[in-house]
Amino acid sequence: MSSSDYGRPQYLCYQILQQMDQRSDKDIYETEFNKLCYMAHYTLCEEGVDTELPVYWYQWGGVPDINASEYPIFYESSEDSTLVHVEDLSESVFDIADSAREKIIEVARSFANQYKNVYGVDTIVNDSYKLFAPNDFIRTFNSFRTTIQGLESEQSTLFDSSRPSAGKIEALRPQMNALVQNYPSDRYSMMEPEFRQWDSITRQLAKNNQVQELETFALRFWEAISRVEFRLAHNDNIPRETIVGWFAERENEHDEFAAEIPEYRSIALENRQPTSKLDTIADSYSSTVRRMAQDSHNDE
Amino acid sequence: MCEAKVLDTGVMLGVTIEKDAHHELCLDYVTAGEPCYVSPTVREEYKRKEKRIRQKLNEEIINHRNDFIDEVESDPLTSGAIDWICSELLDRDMDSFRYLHKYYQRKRNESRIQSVSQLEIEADLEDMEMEIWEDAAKDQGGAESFFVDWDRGLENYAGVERNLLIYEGDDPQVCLEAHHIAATLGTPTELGTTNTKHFIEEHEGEESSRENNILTVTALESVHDLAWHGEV
Repeated sequence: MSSSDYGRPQYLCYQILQQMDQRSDKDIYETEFNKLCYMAHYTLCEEGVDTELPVYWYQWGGVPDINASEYPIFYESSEDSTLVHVEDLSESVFDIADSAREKIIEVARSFANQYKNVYGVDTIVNDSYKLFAPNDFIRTFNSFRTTIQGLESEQSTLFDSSRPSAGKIEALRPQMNALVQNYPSDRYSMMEPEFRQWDSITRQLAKNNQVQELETFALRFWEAISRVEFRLAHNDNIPRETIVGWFAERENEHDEFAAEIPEYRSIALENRQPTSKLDTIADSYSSTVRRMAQDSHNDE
Repeated sequence: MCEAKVLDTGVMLGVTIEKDAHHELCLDYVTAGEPCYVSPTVREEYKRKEKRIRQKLNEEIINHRNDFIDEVESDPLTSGAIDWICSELLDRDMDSFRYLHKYYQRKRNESRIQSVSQLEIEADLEDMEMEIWEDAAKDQGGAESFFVDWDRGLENYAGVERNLLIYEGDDPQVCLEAHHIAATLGTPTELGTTNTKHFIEEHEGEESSRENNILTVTALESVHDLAWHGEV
C-alpha cells in the first residue's frame, strides 16, 4: 500500500504513536499500542466518528487487526517484547476529512496525556478491561486471572509444606461465582457446556492446591473461548474473509478444548481428598443410576 | 458351582457407579474369586452407558449449583428457604431430582438443629460433581481389576440364536457371546445379570422361562439374578 492510500485507520495509528512520541521518551510496546488503538477507536465511535480500524476482542483484550505493511508503523523486536515505531510522514499523505482529523488528534492527544508517564502495560490493560470490555464476564475473568497469578507467586514463596492447607478455593470462590453469574449464555452458547465443566474442575484443582494446573487450564479455556466466541461476537470493521476464516476454525477449536477436559478432570480427581456426599444419599442416587441404565436400554 | 462368570452391563455399572447395598451385592459377586469375563458387546454397552450416566448426572448437578448461586440469597438457609430451593430449583424432569431432593430434606432437618450456610451447600454440590466421576470400587483396587475382557474371538451360533427366546436389543448377542465363552472355556460358567425380566422371568406366550431357555440352548451352567429387589 502506498502512502496515498492512507485513510482513517492509518491516521489513527499514526496519531496514537505521534502524540505519545511528542509527550514522552518512553518506548511504546505492542500491547500498549494495541490497547490504545482499541480504546481510541471505540471512544471515537461514541463521538460519532468511525475510524474504520478493524478491531476485535481476544485473549488478552481488545486488539486491532493490522497488517504493518498497510500502515505507517513498523515493529521492532526487543528482548522478550515488541516495540512499535511510527514512520516520519507529513500530515498531507493522509486522505481524511478535517472534522475526523481533528477528532482523531483530540482523542489521541487525550490518551497520550493520560499514559505518557505510565510505565509497564498493566495499567493500560486494566483500564481497557474496566472501560471497554464487552461485558462483566470478561471483566471478571481478567480479575480472576490476576488472582491466580498472585496465588502462584504466593505458592512459590511457601516453604512450610508440613502445614495442612485449606486449599485455594476460598480465595477464588467469589470470582468464580461471579463468572457463573455473569456468563452470557445467549451470546456464548457454543462454549457454555465447556465453561461449566471448566468451572467445576477448576474448583477442585483449587481445593487440591494445584495452582500450576489451574492456571494452565484457565489460560487454555480463555484461549478457546476467545477463538470460539469473543472474536466473532465482539468485532468491528473486520474484513469478511477474516470472519469467514474464524467461523471455519470455530468448531475445531471448540472440539479440541472439549477433548482436553477429561485430562484435567483426571488430574483433579487423582489428587482430591476423598469426600462422601453421595454416600449419605446412596440409596436414591444408586436407584437413579439403575433407572438411567434401564432407560437407556429401552431407548436403544 | 461355577468356575467362571460372564457379566452383564448392569453388574458392571453396579460395581463402578452405584454406592448402595446393590453395589455391595455386585462387588461381592465380582470379587468372589472366579474370573469375570466381559464380552465385546457388553464392553461397548458398558462404555456407552457409563459415560452417558456420569456425564448427565454431573451436568445436572453443575447446572443446579449454578442456579443455586444465581438465585439463592438468604444465608444461612432456613427450612423455608430449603423448601423454596426444592420447589423452584429442582425440576422433576431431572434424573437427579430424587437424590438431590433427599439431600435437601436432610439439610432441612439439619437446619432445625444447626445453621446451614449457602457455602456449605455449594461445597457439597461441588463435591458431588466430582464424586460422580469416581470409581466406586477404587478402594478395592478399581473396578477394571475385576473385569477380564474376552479377547479370544467369537463364533457364529445361528442354531443357538434360533432357539433363544430372548430378543430385546443387544440381549441375544450378549447371550450368544456368553455361550461362546462358556463353550470355549469348557468349565461351568455363569451369566451374572441385573436384567431379571429379559434373562430370567417367564413371559406370557413363551413355553419356558428365559432362564430355563438359556440353560437349555446354551453352554451356560447357570444365570445369576443380581437385580436389586430391595426398597429405597
